[in-house]
Amino acid sequence: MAQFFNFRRNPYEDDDIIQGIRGNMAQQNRAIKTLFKSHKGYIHKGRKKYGLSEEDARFAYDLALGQLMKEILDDRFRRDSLLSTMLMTIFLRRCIDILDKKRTNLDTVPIEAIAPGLPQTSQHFLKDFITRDKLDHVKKLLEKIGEKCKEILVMKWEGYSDIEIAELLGYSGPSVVNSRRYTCRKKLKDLM
Amino acid sequence: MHSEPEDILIETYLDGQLSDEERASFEKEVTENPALQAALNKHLLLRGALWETAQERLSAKFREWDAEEGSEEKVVPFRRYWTLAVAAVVLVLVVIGLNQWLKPAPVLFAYATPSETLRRGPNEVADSLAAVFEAGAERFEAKDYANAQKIYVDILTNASPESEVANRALVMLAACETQEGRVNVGEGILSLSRVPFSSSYGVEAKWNLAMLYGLNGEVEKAKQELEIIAAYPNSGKWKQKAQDLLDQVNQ
Repeated sequence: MAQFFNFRRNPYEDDDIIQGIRGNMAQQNRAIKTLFKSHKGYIHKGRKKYGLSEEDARFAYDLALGQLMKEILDDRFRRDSLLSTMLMTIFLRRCIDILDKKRTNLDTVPIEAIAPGLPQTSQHFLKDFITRDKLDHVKKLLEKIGEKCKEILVMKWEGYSDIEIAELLGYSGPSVVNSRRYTCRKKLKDLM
Repeated sequence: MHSEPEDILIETYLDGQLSDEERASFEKEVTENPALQAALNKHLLLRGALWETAQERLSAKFREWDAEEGSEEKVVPFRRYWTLAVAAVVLVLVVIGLNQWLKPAPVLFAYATPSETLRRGPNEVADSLAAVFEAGAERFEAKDYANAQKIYVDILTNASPESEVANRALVMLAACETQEGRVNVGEGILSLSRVPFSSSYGVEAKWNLAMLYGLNGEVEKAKQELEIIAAYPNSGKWKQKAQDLLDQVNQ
């Protein structure tokens, strides 16, 4: 029954989810799963409000959850709104992005997602820098730097701590991971 | 492990850590310096590629959860709603049972549509508001309650609060609030309680107020209003109606 009353979510539940996302892998997984399941109604809202297909609305929802998770991990989520409100705001923006993408045929990444600390004027300044072909090229290069290198870079972006990355990838400690990350970034940049 | 100063500057910029002046100056330099622009582009593409890869993994995880949820729903679709289903069945049985054994209770309270005189009667007000009131009546009779309501609110905003037209607008506003599909008894009560009993349409307003209290389950309050109508010598046709209803309620 609680899922029918999500708009009244208790901020204490938000605290649990935020703590979970900032916690270890298992806690993060549980927290993001709760968030994912309890707000799936947004997909329907996106379809209804913007006439998106099921697939597009789901994609917008995935993007919104990913972005919210990143904002929490990077400590940028200010507690002046509920998680559900924030998620809805990001979700609607991603729905509009998808509509824009269809209209303009420009398929790129939202600058807001990769440089969220930048003010909107600067995000606008950067919006034409990334093109789909160049992005796909870098993603291919990411496959060429070796599996471990790729994992070190992507896992950091996903919010794993260096201790967890060390445990998962078999490095002796977090400082090794940090130094390997630098080498991997350089390797990738040299290929670009 | 050393980063180039240019790399540090670009990352600081992308993290939003530069001051407004530094950011503006950096962006100006980017437009003028192709080498810096290329370096910035590399950083953006790297972030973009990592973001997209992480996002693809996250989406894959979500699809797994969707699939889990889908299979749960297929296996136990009934479990989730069984309490509701059982409650609905019990309710239907109770209603059928009661209908078998009891006569249906008479409907005591029913909101009356304001009388023809109140809706369209002679307008004792200035021409402009009379025309507006007429427009409201037309919308009301066309069952366009939302727009009729807007017109009555307009009248309330512009007419003197004690005027007859304001009182009539309040009754009509309550009527709009209580029509089929728009039942908002609380708002109706609020409007009708503002109509003074001494106004030309005060008795009719009080009758409808009693009906709304009754519909809202506040029977004692409804009775009080009905008693006032029944006791007031100039209540006209409403006097007997109020007394009859009081008798029924008190039975």
